[in-house]
Amino acid sequence: MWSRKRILGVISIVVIGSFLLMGVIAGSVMGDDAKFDNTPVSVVKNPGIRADVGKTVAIEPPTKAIVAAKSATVIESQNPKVMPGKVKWHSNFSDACAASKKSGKPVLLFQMMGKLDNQFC
Amino acid sequence: MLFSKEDVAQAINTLFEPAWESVRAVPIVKIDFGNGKVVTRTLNGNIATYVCTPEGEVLDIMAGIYTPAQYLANLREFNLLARYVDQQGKDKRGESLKSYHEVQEKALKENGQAARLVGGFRDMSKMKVIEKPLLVLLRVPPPAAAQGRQGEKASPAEESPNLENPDDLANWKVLAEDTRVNETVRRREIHALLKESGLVHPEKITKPLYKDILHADLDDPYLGLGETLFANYPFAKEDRRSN
Repeated sequence: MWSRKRILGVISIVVIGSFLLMGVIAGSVMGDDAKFDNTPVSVVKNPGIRADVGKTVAIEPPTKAIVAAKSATVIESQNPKVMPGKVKWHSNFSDACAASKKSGKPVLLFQMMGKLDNQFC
Repeated sequence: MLFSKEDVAQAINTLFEPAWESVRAVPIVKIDFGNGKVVTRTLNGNIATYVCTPEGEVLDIMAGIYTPAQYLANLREFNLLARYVDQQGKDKRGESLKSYHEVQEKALKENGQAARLVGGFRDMSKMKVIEKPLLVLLRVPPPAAAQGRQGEKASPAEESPNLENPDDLANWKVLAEDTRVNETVRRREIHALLKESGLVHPEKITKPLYKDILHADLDDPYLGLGETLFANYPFAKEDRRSN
């Protein structure tokens, strides 16, 4: 019995293959010059062919979503993220200076090699 | 980690507007022993803590690693310094700061110990505390003179926690020694640098600080480790070419 993951993988391949085939057929209908032309086919130029404007909006996203959801997990970084201590850090030095102008407190800038929110730093 | 300590974090959150930044990636060494055991360490990383005005001008710097106690003590001094330099007015800030660094450099050179900012002076004739106490930079007596006094408190760097584990104690001693060097040798170099630089923003001072004081040249791709890595290594030339 095939696993759910395997079934979805096969479906994805079939769907992608269909779209590729449609693209090849559309290309052969448009003619040799149009095959190498990346600009959308104008309805006025080729009134019988529908402009390929829905490809990135309607066709690709569902396929991408299936593949993304069912793909293997990305291997975690060798230097995982951690909390940078209990200090309430501003996002950057400029923000700290702006806050300092309001609060009257001096700025403390901590510089380091590596990143404070990485395990190895 | 220093910033996970409650007292250090609280002091920073209360006294400062804090921010952190990375000056470059830290070298990471990973040794895979091939039996499932993997050791990962950073190499030659270094840190610096700046206190700055709201305009982003550097007032003082702590470079290198510190014991939590000494770090905390210095943070409090830094907070006082921010008030001290503006006592005569913001237009005199540069002058006050230069004078501060001159006094500190001299104190460290002659006494081996930094001067301290003290304040809260009362108007004795009226027994009234001045709303914004005047801060004064006081030179402390040299260590030799203090030895004879009873009840003399050890400096924060010398106070050791109660550690029973020999490894923890050994690590503590290394940290304490690093702190001592940073508080004497490096702080003196920092005061000399800031005395000459005047009021500057951190980006103007970062490279000289790391190169000349922390001995970690940020422009060196091997961070000073090239000699160690490539000396007597038979494939050094190939390595360098491929990198």
